Amino acid sequence: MGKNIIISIGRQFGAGGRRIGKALAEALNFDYYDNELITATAKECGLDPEFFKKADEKSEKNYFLQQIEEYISGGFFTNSLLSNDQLFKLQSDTIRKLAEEKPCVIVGRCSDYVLRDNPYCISIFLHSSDEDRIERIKKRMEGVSDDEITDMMKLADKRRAHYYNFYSNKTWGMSSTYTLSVDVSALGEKQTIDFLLAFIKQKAHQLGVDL
Amino acid sequence: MTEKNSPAILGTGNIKRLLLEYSGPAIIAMMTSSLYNIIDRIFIGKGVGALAISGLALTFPLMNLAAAFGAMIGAGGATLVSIKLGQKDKASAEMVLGNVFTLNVILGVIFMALGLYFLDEILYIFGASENTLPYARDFMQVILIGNVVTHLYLGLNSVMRSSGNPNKAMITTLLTVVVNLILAPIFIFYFNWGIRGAATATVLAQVAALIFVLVHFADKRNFLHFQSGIYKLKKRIVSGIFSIGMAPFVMHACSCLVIIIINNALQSHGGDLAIGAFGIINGIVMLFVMLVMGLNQGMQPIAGYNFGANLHDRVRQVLKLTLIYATIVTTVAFLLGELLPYQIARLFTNDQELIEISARGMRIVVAAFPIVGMQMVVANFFQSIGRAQWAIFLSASRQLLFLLPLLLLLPSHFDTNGVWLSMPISDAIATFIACGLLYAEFKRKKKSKEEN
Repeated sequence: MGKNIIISIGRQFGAGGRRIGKALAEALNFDYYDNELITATAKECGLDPEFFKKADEKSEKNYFLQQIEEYISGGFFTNSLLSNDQLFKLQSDTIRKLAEEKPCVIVGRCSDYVLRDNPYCISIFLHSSDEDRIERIKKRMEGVSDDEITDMMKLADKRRAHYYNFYSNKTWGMSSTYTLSVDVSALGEKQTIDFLLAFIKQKAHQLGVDL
Repeated sequence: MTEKNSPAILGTGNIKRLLLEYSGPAIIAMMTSSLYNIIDRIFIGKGVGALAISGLALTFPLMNLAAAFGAMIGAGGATLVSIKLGQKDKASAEMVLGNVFTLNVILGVIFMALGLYFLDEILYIFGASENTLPYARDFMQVILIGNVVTHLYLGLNSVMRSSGNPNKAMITTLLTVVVNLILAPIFIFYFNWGIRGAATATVLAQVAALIFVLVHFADKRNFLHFQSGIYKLKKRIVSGIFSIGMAPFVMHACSCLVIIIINNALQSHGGDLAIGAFGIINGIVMLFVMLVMGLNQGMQPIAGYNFGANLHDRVRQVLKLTLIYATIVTTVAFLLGELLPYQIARLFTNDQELIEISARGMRIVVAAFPIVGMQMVVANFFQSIGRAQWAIFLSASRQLLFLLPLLLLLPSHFDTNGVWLSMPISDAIATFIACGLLYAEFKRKKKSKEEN
């Protein structure tokens, strides 16, 4: 196994996880994956990334309905190829493969659980105050009211928690799940990045990897 | 199983071979369980009598409901185990195994207790009369006492299947059939235990199968095995099992409901023997329906993968092939039902009246069969290409959406024939809709292709 440092980031909706992840990847000269993971996985098994994305978005839907759909398709006997569970398996395989190849930052997808046996994986959870999150989301989407954003946040976090808790054996957002759990609002985005970089470098040094 | 992990073969292999390879195991599993039902009914019909067939047919929804609970936990547990094993998370997978065990025991005991306590009331609601109740009650009492065994066997066998032992799981299923086929005639014809003999054979067959599965999981050499500390229910595992298992449960429960409604309609318009006739007809029909379902399960991953890989010629090829096979299967059912209905009915009973009702019913019920194979395949096809809502709609349309109103409407005008008629009419409407949707889909696809 190569000594590739992998940064796995879990995050609340609107906590700036994507931007911070990208900034870390840039500063460390690591590869960065969030949605790119889907494209990479699709390529890995010869599927059209567009179709794969669509299948992946299914996981946003009502879980019960999905199960009915999968049952009808015969998921009971044969694990249907594009069921969520199969997608998760394929994505996990890709994550492990990427981790073998080179150092990278991976956002979401239970990557910390998938890489739980990898000593070079540093997992980080990012959360932030509601006010800051609303501000951030407002910048991304125009003309949406605070109430709507609050609803969106709640729903997105619920989905992420459900996805994570279902596929892993740990609890989403609980500090003991991760190497490090940080309130982005405490230092602000920019200084949080610096803080994380210092932490990562120190940890890497301890693992015998100098970044 | 290893082949399924490298899906690329689905995009290159010979379609015909892939289809047979992927549907083979499902077909065998489904055929054995329907053959088993048929043979059980033959023993009871010949060994006990015509009313016993009706009594048995009455218990069918109740037995299905018990199986639905087993399937709920089995499907949920199996899925969770395969997810955990996919992550090489052995400890969590074993927790699931232990929780499946505990849940099955709890649900099995509750279902048994409630079932035994309210048995007469339930059977009357399900369409029993004073004449058929004793048979149904005798049968169900034994089955309910063995209910925990049924649940454990179904649940643990699913887990065994998904933990990388599909062949062993298949052997267990075959074991229940073989043991039942040996014991049932001995109990019914030699010991003269009547319908209780049939029930005892069923339960003992499941005991044998359960022992087989328990031995597997007790063996420490197997990757997943029993050990202390895994039986305590964990909230997350239980809720995972229920959220996955809910869907199969609802589907089973709906089909139970439809059969209860059919039985009640038959009871009020045709009497006890009509229910027995439905038992016979349904047994035969299901054999062919299951064959098509098995084909569907083979088609699903192939169509799904090739659709995802933009290999549309292969998608069309596998759809066409499945449609042809399915139509052959249902046409055979149609021909048997139309040409040999009396001979088929005579297999089950010597009672002239029951033979007459069954044969006449069968002719009507299979009337739309040459086209209905298409309906089942198309519904499944939509699922595999990601149009799940249509798939749900189509699956529900044939056996629920159109069937229920027809069942409530037709019998008051045509009596028993009305009950039979509602089935082919519902089949035909559902098939036309399925074909319409398929046509629209291909037209849309063609258009978007031209635009590109």
